[in-house]
Amino acid sequence: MAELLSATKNNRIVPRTDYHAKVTGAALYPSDIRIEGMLESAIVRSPFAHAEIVSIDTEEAKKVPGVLCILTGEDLADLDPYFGPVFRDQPILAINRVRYEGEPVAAVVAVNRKSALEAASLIDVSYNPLPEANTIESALASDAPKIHSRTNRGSHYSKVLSDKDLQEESNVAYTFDYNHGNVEEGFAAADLVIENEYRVPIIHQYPLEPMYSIGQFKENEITVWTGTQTPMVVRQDLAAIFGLHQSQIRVISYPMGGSFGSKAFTKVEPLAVALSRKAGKPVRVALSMTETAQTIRRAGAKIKIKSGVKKDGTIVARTVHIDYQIGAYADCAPRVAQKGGYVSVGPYRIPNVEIHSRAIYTNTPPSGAYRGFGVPQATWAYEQHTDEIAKALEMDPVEFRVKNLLKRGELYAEGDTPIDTDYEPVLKELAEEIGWNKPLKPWRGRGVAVSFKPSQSPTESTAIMRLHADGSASVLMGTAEMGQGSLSVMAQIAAEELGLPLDRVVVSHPDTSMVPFDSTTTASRSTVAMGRAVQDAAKKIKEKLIERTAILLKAPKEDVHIQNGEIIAGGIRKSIPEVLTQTRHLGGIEICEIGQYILSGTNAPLGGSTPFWEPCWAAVEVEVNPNTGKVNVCKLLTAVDAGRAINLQQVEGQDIGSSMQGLGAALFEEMVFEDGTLKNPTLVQYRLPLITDLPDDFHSRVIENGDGPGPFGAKGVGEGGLMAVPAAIGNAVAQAIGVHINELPLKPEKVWRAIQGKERA
Amino acid sequence: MSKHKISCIVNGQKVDMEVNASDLLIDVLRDQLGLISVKRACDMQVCGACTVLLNDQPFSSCTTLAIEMDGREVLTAEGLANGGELHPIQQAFIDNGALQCGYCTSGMLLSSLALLKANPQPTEEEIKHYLHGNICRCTGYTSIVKAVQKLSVGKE
Amino acid sequence: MLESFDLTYAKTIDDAIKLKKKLGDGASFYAGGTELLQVLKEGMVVYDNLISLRSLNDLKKIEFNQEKGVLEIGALVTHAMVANSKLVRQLQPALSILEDNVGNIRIRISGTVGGNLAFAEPRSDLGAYLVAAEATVCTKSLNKTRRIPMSEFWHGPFETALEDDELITHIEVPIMKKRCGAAYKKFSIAEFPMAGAAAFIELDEKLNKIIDARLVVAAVNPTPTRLTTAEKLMIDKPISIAEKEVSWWVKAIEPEIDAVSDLDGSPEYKTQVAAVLLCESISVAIQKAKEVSEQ
Repeated sequence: MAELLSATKNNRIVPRTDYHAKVTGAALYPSDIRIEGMLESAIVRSPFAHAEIVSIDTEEAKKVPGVLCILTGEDLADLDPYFGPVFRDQPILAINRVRYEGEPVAAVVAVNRKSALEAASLIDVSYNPLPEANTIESALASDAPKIHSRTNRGSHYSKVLSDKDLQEESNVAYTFDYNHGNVEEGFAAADLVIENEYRVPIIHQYPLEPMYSIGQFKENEITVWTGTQTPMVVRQDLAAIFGLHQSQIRVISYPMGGSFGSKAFTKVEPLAVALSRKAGKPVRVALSMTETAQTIRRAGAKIKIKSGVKKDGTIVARTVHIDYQIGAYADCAPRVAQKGGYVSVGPYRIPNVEIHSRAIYTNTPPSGAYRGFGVPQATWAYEQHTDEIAKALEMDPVEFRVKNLLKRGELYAEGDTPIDTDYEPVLKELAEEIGWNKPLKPWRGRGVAVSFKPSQSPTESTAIMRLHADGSASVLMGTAEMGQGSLSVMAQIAAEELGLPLDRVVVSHPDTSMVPFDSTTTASRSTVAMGRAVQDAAKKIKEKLIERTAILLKAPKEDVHIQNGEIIAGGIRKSIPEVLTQTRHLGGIEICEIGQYILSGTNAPLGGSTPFWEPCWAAVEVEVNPNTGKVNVCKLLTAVDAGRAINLQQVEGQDIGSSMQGLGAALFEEMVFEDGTLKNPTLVQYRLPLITDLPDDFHSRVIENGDGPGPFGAKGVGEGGLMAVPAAIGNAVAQAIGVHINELPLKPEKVWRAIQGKERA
Repeated sequence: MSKHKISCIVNGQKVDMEVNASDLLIDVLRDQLGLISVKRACDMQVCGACTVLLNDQPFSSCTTLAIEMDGREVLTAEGLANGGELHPIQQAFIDNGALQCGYCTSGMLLSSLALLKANPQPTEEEIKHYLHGNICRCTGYTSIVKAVQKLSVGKE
Repeated sequence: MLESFDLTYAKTIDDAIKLKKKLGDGASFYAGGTELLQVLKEGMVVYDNLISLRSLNDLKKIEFNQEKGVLEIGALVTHAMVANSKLVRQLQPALSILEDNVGNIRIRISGTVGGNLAFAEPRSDLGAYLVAAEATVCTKSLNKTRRIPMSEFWHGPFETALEDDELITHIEVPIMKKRCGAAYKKFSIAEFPMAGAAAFIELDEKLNKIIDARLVVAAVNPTPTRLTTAEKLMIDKPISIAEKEVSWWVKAIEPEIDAVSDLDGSPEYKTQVAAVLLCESISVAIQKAKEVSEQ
């Protein structure tokens, strides 16, 4: 492992295997795929957030030249037309009722996009508007309109559901409660009790590439060309919807132009297939960026935290009520509420804890996965709260954290994996680096934040590796590529384990007809889970190859090594093709092995003990313009625990990218609703981080203790920045202006008003 | 609907073709010339993913008429490499990890190239100013700035 | 996706004007296309014909007319050309900086001065600055030429004094004279400016008193607006007026502010930011006024 995965010794840079294709324009994205005979489509969307569909008149639309057919909810009556990884509550097209502005109501298939759009504009839908519940508060009101009656279809995550969730008649889609100790006693014993409320808006992942899926329906066969993080889940949903066997369904997931969770779990694939079913040819569903933002979001949240602390700074009790505004359909939001809720007290040693997390249905577009999976919302709250407590105790915020942060080996919750990182030294180093105790110029502030999230358990990944006759190798595995470099990393792992040069290993994007089962590409799990599966397969091949060589050369196995694609046994060098050919009677000209990584359920609160915790740290210095409220992030320092960075440049890149998204969430990003209508549906008015927003000093430190469960000691990374950065910025702004703002984003007017409010007070 | 004969050089090759007045540059490049490196993202001139160079200047191909190719040299990412050899800007992006999903990369490469042609020694501020209209959601930009700086003539 | 249209290349300015008259409402002049094509794509307008002005090289010049003391900038000159022009940098430096910061690099390379004025996006930086600069829009139509002072150009958001078949040929921008300085500052929440402030200041011989001030607020109001109350308050005052607190300037500009609440902010906040930008512009303009020598 000494040369670990470095093509270039010492500087640890390994160019990704897909980089060449991407810089030359040769790479194929979902939006580039063309299938012979493919037709195009256009979608008619509801202008209402909640309404009954009275009628859909397609007569004029049908007359447009080039139109083949039009699909409405009525066409779905002979299917089980619902998808969703928890409830399967989302129809392919609205059936009788629309529940969010933008919900697909009808779709046109035509020979080209222009005709489809023209026909779509001629479809006349009449609605009977219904009362709307567009906010957490209005959805929970006693007279709130009921958005769903409960279903029990169940899918990928349905095991998170309890009977209570299935019977619940209110707009509370899901609840997750966790407690240990006794909070009443804890608060009674506290010297100080602090309580506050925080809010996070709805935002969008905004991958640059919108959603594209091509569906082909034949009598006993479905093929989908798409970009998804979860090809196996899509396959499962399609099987349930269309009544085919999984073996008859092929989902091919091409490397995506970004996803960040937006393309996790089934999205427009069923629509593409349903359109193909009616049209008799493959049909492409090509969403615009705006339509993609209408299809999936990140949940907003309201968080109430109450903490009891001793004078010496020990936290003795904490309760958290966190309500996630999940939108009109569940997608994976109940799991988001579960995971985010579970860790919503923060990585702290607290003897008495009570957490109530809820996923609330509202008449806004569905929310799903976004980097951090519920934890960014919780972290914003608890890390602001942490600074407020420190201030009340007149303790330094870093010292207060150090006093309470869990240490390596301590338990966060009974049954779950002990903490596997060292919060304190990294936090202290970042604070030192940002100049924590140095004097501050006026209107400048510094802030820190820490966070953590569990990965996925139970979990499973399986990989097949094939060593070909010429000594090259292929890896068949189900991890999707969305920019994180998974295809390349798996190649690195396979090459390193088996002893091949990197350029001899090819890893393809997942095709469910060829790759074995993988649960999902989410939860920062793939380097560990799929990496271990790939490593396992590679190890088995190595063992077989060594064994065959030993037999061929009549040498002891211990003396046989594979290095840089060659086999060395004592003084003898043999090529892999030579050995394979000369020992083919011992197992064939190719060696093909399966590797697997499976974690079973445990009695941990989420049903399984996380393979590793994903921590994050951020330290920020800001400067606020008191006249405009504009926040300038001067320094942004983060840290990520990679265990062992299989590709150091990529790990850094992930952390920086995630941190920039965190900066966006902190300062700019929000979807603004007026009732159920989105007022900023495009990039003209939704502000993404730009190159000119770069802090003067912005870097990530990668921690490597070789202590991860992944190959060579790796852990999963990638979600940290978005978790910790907004809260660190919030704390820095609070120091700069003298008051905490509890609601994101910290837009200039909001900051200016907070300053005004403070000066008046 | 008027058709227009255009004559141009696309990635070093002479191209004579006929387009409709209302054809958009991005669609002609992608669908008729097979240059799929030109990516449609925001479709409204904000993000820069669709950037192509016409006579070394960057254009939002999503909102430019195809007829503007006439009499000009068109450059897309497919035209950067010289046979098997990558253009220095492509190599700099690879060396500095200046891409992750790669969807913004074509536009980012071409915009960077246009900058360096107009200003061979840009300061960091000038790089950010020029690339202000090229959005990347993956990398957080630091590696992109580094890659462009590596090509700044006269730097170490 | 664009609805189909025909496109004709105008061979001369007169050719363009005749074509427009002939084709009527279903036709539009086409210059850089950045704004026109955007609204066409969105289906907000429909045209059967575009009259391309892009061959009219006479409209692409930037010249200094010494006699009139103005920069003549052709209608087809792009924002980038203005930003990179040595003449403009020398004779109207604040305009050069402004043009270098419009939109993004692609907008600057395609978008034209004439197109920007004719489209009349109410938050146009250029359209506001030219009001403060007391520029003139020069046009030609079938029967006449016209000189429209910028003070009369803006009628409303996306509405100008231009008649249907009138073509902008060029603008005349008075150059900066001795003891005169100008600046433009803007502030954005999202893609378009939320507020902008242009300041033209003339100082007395001793360079410590303001003898003329032209102040324009951009983006906040429905159209660019002269801040006449604030201007009057500046006349004959010492240059230290620029150091007055922001709240004073807020009061000074309030009478001319006509802001609505929208995604960018509340009227109160927009006024605040406009005042902050105005302070900054005035300070820079005063500084520049001290530096400029006789042409």
